[in-house]
Amino acid sequence: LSLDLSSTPVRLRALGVVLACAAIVAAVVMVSAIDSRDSAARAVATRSGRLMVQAERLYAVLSDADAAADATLMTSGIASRERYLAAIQTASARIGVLTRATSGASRAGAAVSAVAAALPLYNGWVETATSNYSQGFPLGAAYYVWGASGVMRGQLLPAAQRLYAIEAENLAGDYRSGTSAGAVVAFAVFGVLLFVVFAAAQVLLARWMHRVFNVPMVIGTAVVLAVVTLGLVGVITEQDALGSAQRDGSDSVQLLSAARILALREQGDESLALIASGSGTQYLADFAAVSRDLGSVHGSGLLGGAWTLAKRSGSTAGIERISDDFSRYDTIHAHLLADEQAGQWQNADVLAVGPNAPEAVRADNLNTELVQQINAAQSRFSRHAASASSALAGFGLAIPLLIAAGTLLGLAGLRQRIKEYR
Amino acid sequence: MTRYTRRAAFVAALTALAAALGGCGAISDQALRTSLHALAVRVSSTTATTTSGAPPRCDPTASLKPSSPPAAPGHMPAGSFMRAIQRRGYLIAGVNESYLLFSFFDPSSGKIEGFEIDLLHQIAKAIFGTWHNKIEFEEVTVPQRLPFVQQGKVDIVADAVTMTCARWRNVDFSSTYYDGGVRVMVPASSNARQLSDLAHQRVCATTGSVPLEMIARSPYKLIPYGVPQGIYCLVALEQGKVAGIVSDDSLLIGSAMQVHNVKILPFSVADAPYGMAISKNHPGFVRFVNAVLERTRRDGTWASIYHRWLGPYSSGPTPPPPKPHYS
Repeated sequence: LSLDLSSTPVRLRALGVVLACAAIVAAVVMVSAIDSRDSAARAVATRSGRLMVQAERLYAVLSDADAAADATLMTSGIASRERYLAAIQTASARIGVLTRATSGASRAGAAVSAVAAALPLYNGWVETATSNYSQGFPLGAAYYVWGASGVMRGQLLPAAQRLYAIEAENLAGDYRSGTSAGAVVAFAVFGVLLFVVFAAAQVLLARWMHRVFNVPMVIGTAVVLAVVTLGLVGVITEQDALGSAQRDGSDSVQLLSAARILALREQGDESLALIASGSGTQYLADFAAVSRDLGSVHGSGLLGGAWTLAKRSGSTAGIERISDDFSRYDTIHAHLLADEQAGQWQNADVLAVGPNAPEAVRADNLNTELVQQINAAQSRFSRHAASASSALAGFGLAIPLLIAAGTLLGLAGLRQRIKEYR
Repeated sequence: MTRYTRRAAFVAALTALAAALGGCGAISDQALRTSLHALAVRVSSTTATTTSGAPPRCDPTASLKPSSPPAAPGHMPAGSFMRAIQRRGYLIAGVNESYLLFSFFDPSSGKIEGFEIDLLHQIAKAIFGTWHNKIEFEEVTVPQRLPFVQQGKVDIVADAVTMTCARWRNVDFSSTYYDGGVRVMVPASSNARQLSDLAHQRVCATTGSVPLEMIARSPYKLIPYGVPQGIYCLVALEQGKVAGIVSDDSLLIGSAMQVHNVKILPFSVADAPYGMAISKNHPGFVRFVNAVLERTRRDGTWASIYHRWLGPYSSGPTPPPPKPHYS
C-alpha cells in the first residue's frame, strides 16, 4: 500500500483517518478517567462511607449488649435484661446487613464472620452467668467476667473494631482515587490533544483548500472544546464536593466514632472493675490509657482533633458539650476510684450501677451527644458525597457521544472537500 | 513567539491546570490516622506469676496464748486495740464475697454469709455484746488481703488464709479455725488419678496462694496458671484452658455445688490450716481472738456453725474443732 500524499484527496482521506483514530483514543482515555473518578465518588457515597458508619454502629450495639448484661448481673434488673435481648437482636440484624454488603473473601468479610461466629458464644456465656447468678451462685459473676467478657473483649469488639478500621481505610482509598491527579491530568491532556488535532485539521484544510473556514469542522472543534470544558468542570465539581465531604463530614465522623468506641470501652472497663471487686486493676489501667487517647478539647487526642474540625466547619458547641460530659464522667470516675481503693464497693456500685446512678446517667448523656454529633457529621458527609457522585452522572455516556458527534462533523467537513475532486 | 516557546507555554498551562485541580479538594489522611492510632491503644493483661525462695521452717499453726477469759463485752481494757475498735463502733473485717459456704454475698438476702462470717460475728459479739451492724466487711482479693492487714486497712482477715511460716513473717495468725486440705479438681471426664497425671499441663490456682506455689514447685512439671480469684479457675476449667484446679477443699466443695461435670480427686496434696490474719502490731488482739475461738470450741458454737454451713456437704459426722497450738 502506497500513499501518494501529493494528491489532495489522499491527504484529505488520511487526515480523516487521523482524526477518527485520535477521537477513538481520546474518547477511551477520557471516559476511563471520568469513570474512575465517578465510580470512586459513588463508592464514597454509597459504600465505604456507609459501611464505616455501619461498623461503628455494630461496635456500639455490641458494647451496649455487654453493658446491659453487666447491669443485669449487678442489679438483677428486668429492664436491663430486656435491653440486653434487644441489643443482641439488633447486633444480629447489623451482622446480617454487613454480611450481605461485604464479600466473604475480603478482609472486611472475614471480620464480619468473626463477629458472627463469636456472638452466639458470647450469648451462651451470658445465659450461663445469668442463670447461675439468679440461683445465688457467685460463680455467675465469674462466668461473666472470664467467659462472656473474655469473648466480648477478646473476640467481638476487636473484630468489630477491625471492620471499622478496614472500612475507614477503604473510604480513604476511595477518596484518593476520587481525587487522583492522574485521572484529571489524563483527561485534560487527551482532551486538549484531541482539540489540537481538530484545530490542526482546520488549519491544514484552510491551507490546502484556500478557504478560511470549514463550517462542519469548526462546529466539530467547538464540540470537542465543549466536551473538554464540561468534563473538567464536572471533575472539579466532583473533587471539590469530595473534599468537602471529607473535611466537613467524614473526618469528624471518624474522630467522633473513635471517641465513641473508646468511651464505650471506658464504660466497659468501669463495669468490669466493679464486678471484679478489687481484682480488676487491669481494667482501671485500660481506662486510664483510653482516657489519655481521648485527650481534651483544647489539647491533643481525639477530642482536640474533633474540636479543630468543628471550628473549621462553624460550630464547636456540640464538641464542647461532649467534652463537658466527658469531664463530668471523669469526675464521678475519680470518686468511684477512691471508693474502690478504700474497698467501699457498695458505695462504688451506687455511683455506677442502675438506671439512675450518676455515672450511668452521665454515660447515657455522653453517648447520646456523641451519636447526635456523629449523625450530624454523617448527614453533612452524605450531602457532599451525593453531590460528588452526581457531579459526573451521565458523563460516561455523554462524553463518547459528544466526541463521536464532533468527529462525525469533522469527517463530514472533510467529505465535502473530497467530493469536490470527483 | 517561536514554536518552542508556544509549546513550553502549553505545557506550563497544562501543569498549572493539574496543580490547580490537585490543590482544590485536596485529601488528607490526618483524621483517619489520628482515629486509628487512638483505637490501637492496648494495655497488657495480667498473666500467671509465681514466687521463689525456700520457705522458712517453723510450726505455722502455733499462735499466741489466749487471754483468758476475754474481757466483758462493751468493756474492753483501756489502751487495748479492742478498746479502739469499740470506740470506733465497728470491726473492719476483710473477706471474700464469692467463697461459697465460707463467705459469700447472698443476693437474695443482700448480706455476706458463711462459716467464716459466723465466726467473725462471735468476735464482734465479744467486743460489743452484739454483732448486728457491728462489722464492716471489706472485700479483699488474695493479693490484697495480707498487705491490707499490715497497712491497718482492716482489723482482721478471715478469707481461708492458710497459715505458713512465710506469712508469719508479715502478719500474726489466730489459732486454727478450720483444718483444710489442698486437693485437686478435674473435669469428670478426665482420666487423671493423681497429680502426676497432669504433668506438662496447665493447672489453675489463685495468684499469690499456697497452691499456686505448690504447682510451680511440683516435681511433675505442672504449668502454673494464676488467676486473681479462685472462682475464675472454675471458668478456666470449663473453657478448657486448664487441665485441673489445685485448691483448698473448702473452696472446691463450694465450687462443686455450682458446676456439674467436675470431680475432686480423693486425696490431699497438703494440709491447709486456716487462721485469721491480724497485724503484728496487735498481739493483744490476737490473744483476745484466740480466747473467743477457744470459747467457741468449748461451748459447741464452733460445731454448730460447722454443721450449719458445711454439714450438708461433708461426708460423715461433724469433726471435732481443730486443736489449737500455742507457742
